[in-house]
Amino acid sequence: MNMELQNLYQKTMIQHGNNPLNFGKPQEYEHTEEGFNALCGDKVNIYFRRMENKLINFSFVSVGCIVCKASGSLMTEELNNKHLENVATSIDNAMIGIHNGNLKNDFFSNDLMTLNQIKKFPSRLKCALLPWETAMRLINNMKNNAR
Amino acid sequence: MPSSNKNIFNIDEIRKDFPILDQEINGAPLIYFDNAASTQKPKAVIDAIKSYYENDHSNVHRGVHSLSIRATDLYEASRKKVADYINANSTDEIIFTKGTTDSINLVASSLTKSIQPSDEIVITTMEHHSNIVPWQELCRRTGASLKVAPIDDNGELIIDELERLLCKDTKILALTHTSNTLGTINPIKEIITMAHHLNIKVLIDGAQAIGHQNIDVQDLDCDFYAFSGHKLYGPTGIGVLYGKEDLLNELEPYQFGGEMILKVTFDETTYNSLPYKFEAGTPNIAAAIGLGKAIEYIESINLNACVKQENVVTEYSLKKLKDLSNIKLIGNSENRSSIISFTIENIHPHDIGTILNQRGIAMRTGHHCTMPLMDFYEIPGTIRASFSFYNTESEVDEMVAALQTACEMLG
Repeated sequence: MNMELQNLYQKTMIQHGNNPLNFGKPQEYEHTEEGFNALCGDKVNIYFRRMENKLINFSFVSVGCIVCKASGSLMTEELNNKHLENVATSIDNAMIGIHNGNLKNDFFSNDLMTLNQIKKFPSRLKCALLPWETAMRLINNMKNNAR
Repeated sequence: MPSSNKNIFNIDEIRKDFPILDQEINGAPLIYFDNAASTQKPKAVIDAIKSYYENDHSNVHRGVHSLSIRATDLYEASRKKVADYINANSTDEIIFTKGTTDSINLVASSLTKSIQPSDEIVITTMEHHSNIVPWQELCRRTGASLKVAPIDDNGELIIDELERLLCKDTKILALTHTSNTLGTINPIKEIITMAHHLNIKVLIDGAQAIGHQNIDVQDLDCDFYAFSGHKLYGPTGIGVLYGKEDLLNELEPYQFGGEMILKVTFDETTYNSLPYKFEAGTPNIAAAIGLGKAIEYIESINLNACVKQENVVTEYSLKKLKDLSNIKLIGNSENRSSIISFTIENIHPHDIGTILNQRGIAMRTGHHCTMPLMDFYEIPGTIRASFSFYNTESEVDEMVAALQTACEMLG
């Protein structure tokens, strides 16, 4: 078995991909956004509620590959209960980190480090980034609507 | 020279004609099973393009100098090869385009003034986006309606339903000869006869049929037949629209300027005759010459022998895939080409595609530009193996082994 492939589909990726956390459309949500990858047809829906200055009940639904689902699972874990003012920066840093393969566990959970392997598979970057890009659009829409 | 004039189809020799096949991808020999997306090019085609640019290049048609005459002769000789290859009545019926999509757009755009709001255009569920969206746009421009003929679970057209859809208001029936996702070969000759009884014009999307069966446009009696050069072992950026001469004469020009002009004053313009009326601007001369060479190559190794080899590999692959318990074939048409689509239970096609690529196997995963068809089967995408005559049964064995690895790893 090819080592790079083993690194991509390591235990964390498979676990989060096959049994994603925070998966499903919540009964109660205030904000939602759909993301679509026109290249492959993958789809992600992101949901959350705002409680005071925190984002709660961060969840997602995805018709996507293991990479996309694992990324969504890890993202919702990362962003749940975050302060609104910190969320956009976290998403930005995560997207840059995924792109460059240099996510650091000083800022993010250890599990999220599994997404550092995506860089070696450029054709899969879009899969990993789709949930984050969709969440960022949702945050921006929410901020714009509040103005 | 290609390994031509062989009486026996020798696949080892044939493979040597395709330089790209002799390489490793991720440390494994390349297995190219993405021929429905684009076929590889024999050395004869690559050499013809190189030779053209090294020795004969100039712009076509207008020059009196030797290079322009040579370029024109080569370009028009390719048109003749295409006309003969599909048995068109004359070279005036062969329009060089950018590809199948461009050919279909040409017809859909040029028909705009002749379509009324009460008219209907009929397509099928299994069409590629390129044979859906140009008609959607034509309907949007004219107020006409788009009707979709359904398929059954096996991926075969329901002919009775199609017949019910066709009526006096139907102006165009546009359908694929061979489905790029399902591999289904439609009985287009019977369908064309059915449509003609109601005076309906028929456009055939031949992108997936052209390199995999004999095409005789006069025998089919189709009104338009569209295909791409790069799926016929020729270069990208060149395609063909075949149209019956009287219909092409009736059509409005598609784009304006360059070779499609006969005479221009500031008051009015006279358009050129066929086929130049539809070839505005400097064409892709080198690619047209490359396409002509590709046709020569296919004829030299014999298309029927090629199809036979593709059928052997396809049948072998179907048998092997059916032995895998968690695989579901998408498309089970009785009359099928060398395209096989499938899904694997609980594993997304993209993950399979990555694992196959790590074993040097090039296969396409996703919706294959047939999103409405994916909706019909309620799946996000498929894994698609599409074979050419240079593929072998041992390559299929490698694919099956890689699929088993993928299932163990991801399941």
